[in-house]
Amino acid sequence: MLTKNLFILVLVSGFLVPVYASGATDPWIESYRLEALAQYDSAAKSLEQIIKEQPRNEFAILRRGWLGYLRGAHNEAIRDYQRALDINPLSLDARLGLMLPLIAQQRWREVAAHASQVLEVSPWNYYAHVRLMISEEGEKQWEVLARHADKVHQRYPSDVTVLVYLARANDWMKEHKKARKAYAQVLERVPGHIEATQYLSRY
Amino acid sequence: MQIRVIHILCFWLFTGQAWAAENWYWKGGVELLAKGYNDSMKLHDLTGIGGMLSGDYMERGGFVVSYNVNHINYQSNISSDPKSIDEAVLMLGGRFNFHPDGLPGRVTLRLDGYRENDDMHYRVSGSGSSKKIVTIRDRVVGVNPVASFLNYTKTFYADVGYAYTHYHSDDSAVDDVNVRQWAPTLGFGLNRSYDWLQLRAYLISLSASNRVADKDITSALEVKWSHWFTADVPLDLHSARLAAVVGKRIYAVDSDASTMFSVSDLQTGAISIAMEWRLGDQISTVLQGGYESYEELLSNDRYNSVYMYVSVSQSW
Repeated sequence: MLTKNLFILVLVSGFLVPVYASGATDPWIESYRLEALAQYDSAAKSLEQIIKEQPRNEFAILRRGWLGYLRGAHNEAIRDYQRALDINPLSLDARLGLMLPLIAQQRWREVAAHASQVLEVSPWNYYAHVRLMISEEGEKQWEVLARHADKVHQRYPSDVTVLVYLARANDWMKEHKKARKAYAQVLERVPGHIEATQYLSRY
Repeated sequence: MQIRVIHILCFWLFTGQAWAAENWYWKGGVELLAKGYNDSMKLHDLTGIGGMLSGDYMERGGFVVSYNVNHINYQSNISSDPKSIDEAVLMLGGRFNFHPDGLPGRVTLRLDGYRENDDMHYRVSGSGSSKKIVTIRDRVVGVNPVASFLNYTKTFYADVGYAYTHYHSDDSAVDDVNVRQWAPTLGFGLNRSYDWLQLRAYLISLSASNRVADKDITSALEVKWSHWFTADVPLDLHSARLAAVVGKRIYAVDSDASTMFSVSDLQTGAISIAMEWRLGDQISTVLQGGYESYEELLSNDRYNSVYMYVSVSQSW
């Protein structure tokens, strides 16, 4: 038995060692390393071979979409996230990811449509709610945003982002008392929060 | 030709992609216009009614169709002028939005097409029961492509609009006229985009025609300032707009109002104020009043008009 295991180990080592000895690196490791260095274009290129060999590798396509978003190639990111959704229409990851480049392009109605689809199957998905709030802010739907942020705040009472949207909506509606209260709660969670501090010093 | 292009665009918009019905944003509205002419030797008043429907597929693009009818009464003391004119204007438009990664904003390509029939009713003989009315038709077609850019922070807008319109009369004594218009526009968002200042130049060239005497070029500048209110506003206004036109223009095409100014006289100035109210989340109404001054090219008759316009629209 021991002899057999040693034989397998030698055999596997024989395949592995030449790969790494020749300088070739794992494309996944390379992709993460380059992303950490903010070299998003190179990080995406390191995945090309994988996607070429496995055109339906959902995760590789999702990851390339993310890297496309990071480097500002929003249309490429949208195409990749759409492709990932075509491969796996149930993917909430792809739908949530798709909202990021759409937000960057201020396509608020499209963001809202995708957020609604996520919330249909996952009603209190935090990211879908926050991205929907971004869309409502972009559309200047202040009453809708205030009601929405209030509801989400009840589910995520420690969250700062939701409170900021609640405060902003009330500020635009000139509900300064409510805005002050929300910004004060922001400061309890993040002391020194710049937006909250500036608002409370003005009102 | 341009109508056919718009039909093709609309057909593509509806059938070219399996787009979900719930992602369409619709808007429909009706509008009324009443105008009175002062100091004019020929024009007396105008009344008009119209309706529009627009659909946008999220932010990707959309279409608009509108139909307006106007009735213009002439002064009754000049026998050579028509008794009245009935105008019918059909407008079809399509627009597509693009978000190039290399630009910090959205590019929109838009194409509007117009078809207008003006039925001029002449009293040719007699009076009372013996009077006879003859109708001569003016046919107008127009096409108005516009390429525009709006940055993501909504602080800067620019567009270049071109319009070509052709006026044809069934009366062989009246020449056709071709009108070419360039209308470059700049817009600036201020106060977190709650104020908007827009400047548009109208550079219009006219072909030789006995409709326009010797006039072959006109130029004007339109300035608009819009303000959107937030809360605690007198009269519960949602927005207000002031607009003025300086310079001279004739047969202009206004791509904001989706209107052709088919009046055959030279507009020498205009000022207007508009107020918008929101009646709930989906319904809005606009009340606009304005003053315009004109000069008739053939007789040098100078006159002005005062108008009121009201529209009600619903989004869903």
